[in-house]
Amino acid sequence: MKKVGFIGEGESEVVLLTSSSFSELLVEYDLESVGEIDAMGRGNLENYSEKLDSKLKILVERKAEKIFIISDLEQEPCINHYKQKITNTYNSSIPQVEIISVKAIEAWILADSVTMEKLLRGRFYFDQPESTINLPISELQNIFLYRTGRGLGSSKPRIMKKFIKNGFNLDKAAEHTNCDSAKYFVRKLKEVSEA
Amino acid sequence: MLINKVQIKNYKSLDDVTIINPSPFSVFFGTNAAGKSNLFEALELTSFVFRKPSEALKFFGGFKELFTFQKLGAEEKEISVSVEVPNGKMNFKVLDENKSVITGFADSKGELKDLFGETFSRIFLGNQKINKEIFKDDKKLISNGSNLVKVLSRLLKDEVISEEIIEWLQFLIPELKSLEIKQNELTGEDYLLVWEENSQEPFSGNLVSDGTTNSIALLASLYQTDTPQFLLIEEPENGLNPKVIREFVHLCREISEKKNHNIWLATHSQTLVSEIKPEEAILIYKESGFTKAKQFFDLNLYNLKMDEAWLSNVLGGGIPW
Repeated sequence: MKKVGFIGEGESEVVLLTSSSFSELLVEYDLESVGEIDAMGRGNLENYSEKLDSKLKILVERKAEKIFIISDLEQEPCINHYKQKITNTYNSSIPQVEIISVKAIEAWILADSVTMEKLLRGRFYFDQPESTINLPISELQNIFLYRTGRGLGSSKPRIMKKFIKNGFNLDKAAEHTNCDSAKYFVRKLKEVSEA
Repeated sequence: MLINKVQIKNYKSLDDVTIINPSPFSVFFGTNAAGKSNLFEALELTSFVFRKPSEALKFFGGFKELFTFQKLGAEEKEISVSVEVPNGKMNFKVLDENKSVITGFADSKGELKDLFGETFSRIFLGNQKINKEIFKDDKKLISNGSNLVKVLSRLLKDEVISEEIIEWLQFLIPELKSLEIKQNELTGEDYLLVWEENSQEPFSGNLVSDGTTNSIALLASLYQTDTPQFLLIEEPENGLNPKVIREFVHLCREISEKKNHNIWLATHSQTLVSEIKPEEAILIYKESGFTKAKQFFDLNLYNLKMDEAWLSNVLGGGIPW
């Protein structure tokens, strides 16, 4: 079983990474998590860059062969530029880092049509979950307000937990035709497993 | 006063929790309802069994309230606690018939007596529900701190202790000048007066802020005896300013070393956790409904503070959702 570690930009990412459904996915790929650490970014790379190096070193010490940093692109136009910005904040002698950039993690929820349909109690398909005009969390809240008359509240980790409880997981998002970041994440997990 | 091992089985949410070589000053932290209070309560039960084995159970509500409810269907039902110290060992069982039985006991150097005898204290200031002590004398603070005036009255008669307590209070609470215990002429009961700088008249106990009262009570508990004591304090942060919380941690550590006390704190306070060292930290969390304890003797935090490690889930088991 190969060891992997994770650093999520905020609490929502850690809620997903510590969920039993995500753990099952890792077991499926014969991977063992050595830690799911909150970067405590609060929506901003500058907030967590100072401590990123320490957190990466802790996961290296735990013998993680690959460390995934899940980070929100939000309004950043260029993935490569953003990845470079993250890379510049830590000691570059940690080669096993893989950055997963997603517009915002709630885009993966928008991509999971099955769970969305379950909670909306009706048909649902969001064609471009990673190319929303507003942030994905706002899209999600607006959809629920419009379709059910009830919003989802403002707590992002609570929203994530609600969707996980109803079946959401990374692999469901990766099944969506236009959810490249989830597909990329799943592909990278498989690659570690098969390496 | 060293403890080598504490193992608690089937006590409420603690189906099997072991703590190995805890630091005499240790801090238990974790999410709400993780089982910190249950662990402290099990240690309090140990003290009651040590002092009055035949009656201990009735102070805790009886076997059915204490046994791990997820295991009620099991054939053999017993709660057990074992404590190992360098020169002694104590095991006891609490049985289905509301009996507690000491199954092994050796204490050649009186270490268990120092831990679980008369100087054992469990403090949770302001919590009216948890007190189990019958006697509210001046020897030690009872759980809810309601005998503070009695204990303080004794301590303030000792010149050295009085000076230390007042000095600490002057440092922690701006404007505080001194404390005085007076006796009510009609009832004969003692009461507390707090003198402040710039005030001609003292404030009586009921006019003093909760934070000040709690600070006084915490200091009283730390200074209540010079002999080694096992002092458990739950949520000491209540009502205290963050800077006072930080100083309180340093004082606990210092007194623990100086007086050979075991001082264990249970907390939700990020400020408090930020001041502790890995070897003093014990994370309490739940796994499949059962309480677990995790210790960190050889943890390299790479310049993270313990609170950052806790709240960013570096320690695992630390996030509430």
